[in-house]
Amino acid sequence: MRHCNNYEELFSSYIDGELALSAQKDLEAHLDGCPGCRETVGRMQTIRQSMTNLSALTVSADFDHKLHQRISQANSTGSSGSLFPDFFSGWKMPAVGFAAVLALVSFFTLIDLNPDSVNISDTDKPILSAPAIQEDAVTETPNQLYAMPQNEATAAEQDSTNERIKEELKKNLDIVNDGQR
Amino acid sequence: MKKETLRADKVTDETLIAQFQQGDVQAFDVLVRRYKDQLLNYVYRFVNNRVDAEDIVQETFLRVFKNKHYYKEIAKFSTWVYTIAGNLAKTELRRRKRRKIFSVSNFVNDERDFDIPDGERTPDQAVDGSIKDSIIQQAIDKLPPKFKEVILLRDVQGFAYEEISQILNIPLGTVKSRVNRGRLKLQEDLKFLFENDNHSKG
Ligand SMILES: [Zn+2]
Repeated sequence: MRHCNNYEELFSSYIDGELALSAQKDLEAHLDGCPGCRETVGRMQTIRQSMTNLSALTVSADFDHKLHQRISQANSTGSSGSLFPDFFSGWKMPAVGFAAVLALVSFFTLIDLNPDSVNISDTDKPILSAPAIQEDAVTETPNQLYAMPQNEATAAEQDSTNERIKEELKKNLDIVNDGQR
Repeated sequence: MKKETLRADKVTDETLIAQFQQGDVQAFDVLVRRYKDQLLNYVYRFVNNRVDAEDIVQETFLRVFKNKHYYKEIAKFSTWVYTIAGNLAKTELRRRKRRKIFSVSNFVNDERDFDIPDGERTPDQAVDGSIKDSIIQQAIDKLPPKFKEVILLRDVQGFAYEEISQILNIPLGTVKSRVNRGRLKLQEDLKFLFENDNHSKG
């Protein structure tokens, strides 16, 4: 006879219907004679169902607008990705500085002549560690918006860095806005 | 001058990111449209704060934009983008934890107060299979991050175990055992919702 503890590790697979038939029969036999485990499984099923039914949110109306702004902003202070002259043509630019945008486009056209110098990609590192790699790259990149630390050690200093970066950002935004007038 | 490209829903994420890697920003926009809401829900349940969640989703897309060449077609785009969003969400939680240590009184959750009023401790909310969102969220908040992430990906976002294993870069067996332990922990924390139920049913 197996003990409750041994059955416990099968509960999730049982709920997901992923147990082999023999294991399922075995577990069901135990559940029949064990009210404790039966109730636990019941609660797990109910909670799982409620998780699935959690109300869904949608992003706020200005999400796209803000994102485009943020991308333009990030790119205006340097570049870690390759940009193309037609970069902005596909997007309806917001009221935020069309003139500034034109200036930026010509700027990008210039730096784009040598895309390899700004590209940090094309390593053989596995894709799934990309965000981690990026953290390293990011700390050397001045245009990082909200540098997010990946470990506790650097976290404290990162906070003050974030504040500084936000300051920078605000200044840069002012410059873009000024250029518009 | 302006090229208006209509994109059928049939175009795969992987095709879109490939097009974006070749400089097509409209392909990027389609990806944003496809993923912004589901990422928001993932991150929101993770950090339990609407403003932070939206900011993190923005940051996620910004990173996709800036680092598009990191993406290689050996993985699905969804795997990649969820990896980025999840890492940012975890970082946010660590940041808060630190801040909380420094200034406990300044830590204000801008959502509702999640203390459960006595009136809500009734059996019916568990019986009909619908526990209030706020109560579920409170239990999610209490989960350690390594359980939280698998539970959210599996039970809220509905990912297959295999893709969760890829998103988190942990073995399949580990995903399964964490989901099980996470679910066990949740039912332990929410046991009180069911207790009256048992008595009344005898
Ligand atoms: Zn038992």
